[in-house]
Amino acid sequence: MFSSILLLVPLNIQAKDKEKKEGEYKFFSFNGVGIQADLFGYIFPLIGEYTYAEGAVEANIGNRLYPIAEIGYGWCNYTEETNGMHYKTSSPYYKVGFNYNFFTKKDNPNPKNYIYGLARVGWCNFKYDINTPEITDPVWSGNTSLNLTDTKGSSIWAEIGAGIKVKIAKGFHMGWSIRYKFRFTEEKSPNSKMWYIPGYGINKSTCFGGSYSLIYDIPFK
Amino acid sequence: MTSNTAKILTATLLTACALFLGACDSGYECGINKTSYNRIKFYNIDSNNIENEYKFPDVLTISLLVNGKDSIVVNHLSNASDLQLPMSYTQECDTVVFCYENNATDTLYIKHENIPYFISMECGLAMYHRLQSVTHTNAFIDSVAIINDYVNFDNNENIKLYLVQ
Repeated sequence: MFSSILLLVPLNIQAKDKEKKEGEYKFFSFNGVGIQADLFGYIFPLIGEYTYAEGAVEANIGNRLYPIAEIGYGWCNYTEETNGMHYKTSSPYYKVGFNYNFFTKKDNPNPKNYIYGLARVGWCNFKYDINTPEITDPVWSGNTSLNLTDTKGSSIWAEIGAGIKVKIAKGFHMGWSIRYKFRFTEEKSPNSKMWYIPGYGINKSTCFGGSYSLIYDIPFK
Repeated sequence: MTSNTAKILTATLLTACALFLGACDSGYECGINKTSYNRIKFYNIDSNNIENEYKFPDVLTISLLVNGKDSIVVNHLSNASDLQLPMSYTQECDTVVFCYENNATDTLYIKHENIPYFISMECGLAMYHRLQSVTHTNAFIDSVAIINDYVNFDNNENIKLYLVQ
């Protein structure tokens, strides 16, 4: 009986060593790919003047760093009721960057729910139309208006922010993020300033944005 | 999804929406008066050939020729060193008449391009101008120089008007 216990001890130690090796955290391990759809763009017309559809592909590096590429399509066909101004555009836009999972630690290498920081660079080349009602010259009288078609616009911007992801089912996460955006460049036209930039939002030097995403983690191993 | 997870998601989403909506403003400050002015400053050249700012000693009345009729825009201006004039939205040349105290007059002919400019959905359309040339009579005006041809909402000086001593 005693000898059999002695025989089992080394086996038990070997098993523990194996577990330790399997649980060992590797920062640069490639753990898979996730695809995601942003649902926020579909509800945005309820609070804003435009809508968008956006998807993304992200790589999982050590459950901590997630390089990500986002592609979206933004639409705006808006008339300001108070003054009759009309702005129309639709265009694809692109973003690249990464998420960083703050909850991954050596003793918790694969958290189900976590908070992350994010950084992106986005860009968009597009064309827009503007139609305005007539304005009257207050001194000389006479009216004039502006009707622009296919005016070229472009912008490059950056986004930083934070988000949260929670596991809702096997292979599925859901989460949201809030993003602070700041514009680097804007193309100027002799007759107009871009009002809405697909992917960025209303053309201000800075603005806020958000996402509400459904993520599917493609099994890698 | 556990109830705790649902609570976290709901609370954080509501917070995000509040922040998001709180941050939503037009981003544009619309001027009360969306008129762009042609800003003119008076100068003279002294005997040493040095340019000096000049305060017009006489009382000055300035009219614009609107549809063939005088329309006074500045009445009895005294000790003036500059003035700002509205510009026509549709004409290519504005006629400005300076009427001095001694009943002498000078006329400026300001040729310009009109540029309708879309500012934003909230602020709408404004009218900017690009100065092309200025010609004038010579009762008290010696010469004219366009130093900034783009007339918009900025406070930049557009024209230097050199007056005789």
